[in-house]
Order: sequence, then structure tokens, then C-alpha cells
Amino acid sequence: MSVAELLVSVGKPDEAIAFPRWMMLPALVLVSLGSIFRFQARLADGPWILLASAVALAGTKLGARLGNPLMGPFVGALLLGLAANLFARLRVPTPQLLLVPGLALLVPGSFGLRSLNSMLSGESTAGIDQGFQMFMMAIALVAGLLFSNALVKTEANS
Amino acid sequence: MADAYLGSFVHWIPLASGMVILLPGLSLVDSIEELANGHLASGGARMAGVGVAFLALIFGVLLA
Repeated sequence: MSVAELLVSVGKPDEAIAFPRWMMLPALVLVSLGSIFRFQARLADGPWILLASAVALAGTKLGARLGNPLMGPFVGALLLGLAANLFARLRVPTPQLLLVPGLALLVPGSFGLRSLNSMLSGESTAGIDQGFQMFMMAIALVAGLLFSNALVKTEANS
Repeated sequence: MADAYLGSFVHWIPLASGMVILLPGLSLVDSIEELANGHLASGGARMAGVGVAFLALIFGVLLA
């Protein structure tokens, strides 16, 4: 019995309805607007944040097609790191401007929450599985970033 | 307690979408990157912070 069940009756909901695929584009704009507020960026940096979000999302979708589920975060982080380092060489003052909002889309935080949720509700094996998956995704992200730093040198990482 | 929404997936979606702001995912990636670069003290400390943040968040989730 939870606090929520005391307040309202919790019924079994119907099946979740997925958004159509074209909703990705408005969602991308919305998430970059949200990133401006979340990271307290200047409004003038909005296009860069939009670009970073688009690169991260496209890289993840591209990598997910390669078969291995860990290729999604890896390719996303690799493309994002390449874009950030290249643009840091060209005009953007620091690669972090693209890295942080892009990486915020890729991080496997929800897996950790799901893992602890499973563990605390008695499904220890599923919880351990999801926790391990979270760590592997984080390591795939870091591997993508390290590869991109090795491929494109900037003043920051040389 | 938690199976009020664990049994159904729909309760999970608004929970996770609101929780995304609070989750320490970026710190987790930061900590692993620091550990990979050999900054063991800061990486380890950051990873401990991530673990505690996860535990604190899940306590709130279980309570609700």
C-alpha cells in the first residue's frame, strides 16, 4: 500500500500509445529549448544546442541499426564528440557547449532508476541486469568520447 | 508498494520523464570518463555521489 494508493485508486491502465515518428522533430526543438533553460545557456547559443541534440539523436538512431544495442550510445557519443571538437576548432569557444546538451540526451539515467526499482520490488536478477546495462551504456558513451578526442585534436584535449 | 506502477508500463512513463531532470546520468558518464583518464580520486568520489543520488531518488519513488 503506497501513499498514492491511499489518495486515489490506482487502476490498471491501458496500453501506452506511442507517438508517430514525425513527432521526433518537434520533440527535438522542445528538448533543445529545455536544454537552454536547464543548463542556463545564452539564448544566442540555442542553434548550437539544437545542432548538438540533433547530432546525438541521429547518431543514436544510426548506431541502433547496426545490431548491437550498445552501438547506439557509442555512435551517438562518437558523432557528438566529433562535431563538438570540430566546431570547437572552427568557431564555438569550447566543445562543452555542444557536448553537455548532447550528452544529456544520451545518458542512461533511466536505466539506473529502473534497475533500483526492480531490485527493491524483489526482482533482483532483472535489477542487476538493468544496472549492468546502464554501466555498459555509460562505458560505451565514454568510449565514443575518447575515440572522438583521439580523432580530432583541440586545444582542450591535446 | 512499487507494483502499483511496476505492473503497468504507463505509470512509468510520466515518472521517468519527470525524473529525467533529477537523474545523475551526466555525472555517471563524467565519473567513468574521469576514471578512464586516470583521475581515480575524483572519478571514484563522483561515482559514489551518483550512487547516493540514485538511492535517494528511488526512496522518493518508492514512497509515492
